[in-house]
Amino acid sequence: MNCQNAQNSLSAYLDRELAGDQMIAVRSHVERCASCEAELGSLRALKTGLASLPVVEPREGFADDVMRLVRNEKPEPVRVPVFAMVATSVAAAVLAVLLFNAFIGGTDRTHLADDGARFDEASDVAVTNPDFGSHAPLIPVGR
Amino acid sequence: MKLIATWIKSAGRTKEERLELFERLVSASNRQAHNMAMRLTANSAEAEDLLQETYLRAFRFFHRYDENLPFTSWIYRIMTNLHIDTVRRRNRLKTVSIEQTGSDGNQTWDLPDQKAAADCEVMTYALEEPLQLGLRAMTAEFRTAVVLADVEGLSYEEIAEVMQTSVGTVRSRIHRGRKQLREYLDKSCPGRYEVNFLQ
Repeated sequence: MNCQNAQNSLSAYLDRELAGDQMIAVRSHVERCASCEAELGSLRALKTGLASLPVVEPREGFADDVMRLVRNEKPEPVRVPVFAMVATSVAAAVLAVLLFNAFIGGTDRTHLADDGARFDEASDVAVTNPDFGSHAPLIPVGR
Repeated sequence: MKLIATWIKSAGRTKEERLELFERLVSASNRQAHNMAMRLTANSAEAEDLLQETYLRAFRFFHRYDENLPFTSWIYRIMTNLHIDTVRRRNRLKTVSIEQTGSDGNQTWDLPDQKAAADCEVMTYALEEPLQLGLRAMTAEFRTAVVLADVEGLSYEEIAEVMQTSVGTVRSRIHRGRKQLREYLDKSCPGRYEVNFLQ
């Protein structure tokens, strides 16, 4: 790691926001580079200084004044987003249909397997009703 | 789904219940939020205006607040948006940038004239800190990111959430913001500040 890369990462290193390998790379560079070490020290002092700035209290009665204004404020009407509601309902309905089909389909498949064999004997042709998808009953077509 | 649940929960409350809950949250958060507003504006009158507008907006959209999340994070999000919008609006009206190139081609800082400021009298001693003045001279986005990280102690991920941006952008803003602040301190109080603070 060169100085340019290290200096670009010093802030994130100081905040412990680098990935483990990057932390190690920056640390090893700083240990052998006086200029980057000084830069890190200066950033650390800045961070410490900002963290120790005195807390500035609000004036007496500020929260009460805010609440007085809030009481006169008209909240935005609560609107449940129609699109989200419709999307959720449709998703729930589709899921219900899929589950239902899976259940019914699973039951029918055994039945159809038996029936299908019989159909094949009775007739060589069978069609699938497209409305029922892959779980559609087989319908024999007479010759 | 979570959003809808929040809406439904909020819609189920009476106006009085909403007010009561909001008042409790204001009471619990106003001290911390006021300090944040002061760090962003460096001016007690502006900080009060910013915080007041933040709470009013928060109440207007209180039904969108997810009670599972910290109220202060939500307040900070509203406050930083308001603050950045205000600074941008103000900058559009200004004709001179705070950062410009001097006659020798070097970058110079146009430091705020504290004596000329109309609200000079209401500024507290805390605001005379070189660091606070340095924060005031920073770009709004950089200042917000640095304050959230160093004053409020938020992680980059939390800052990204508050500022509605990516962690990479937060990282860059903090890096450039600290650099900006250091340049300001080097120019505004060289030596003295270095000896007393940076060493």
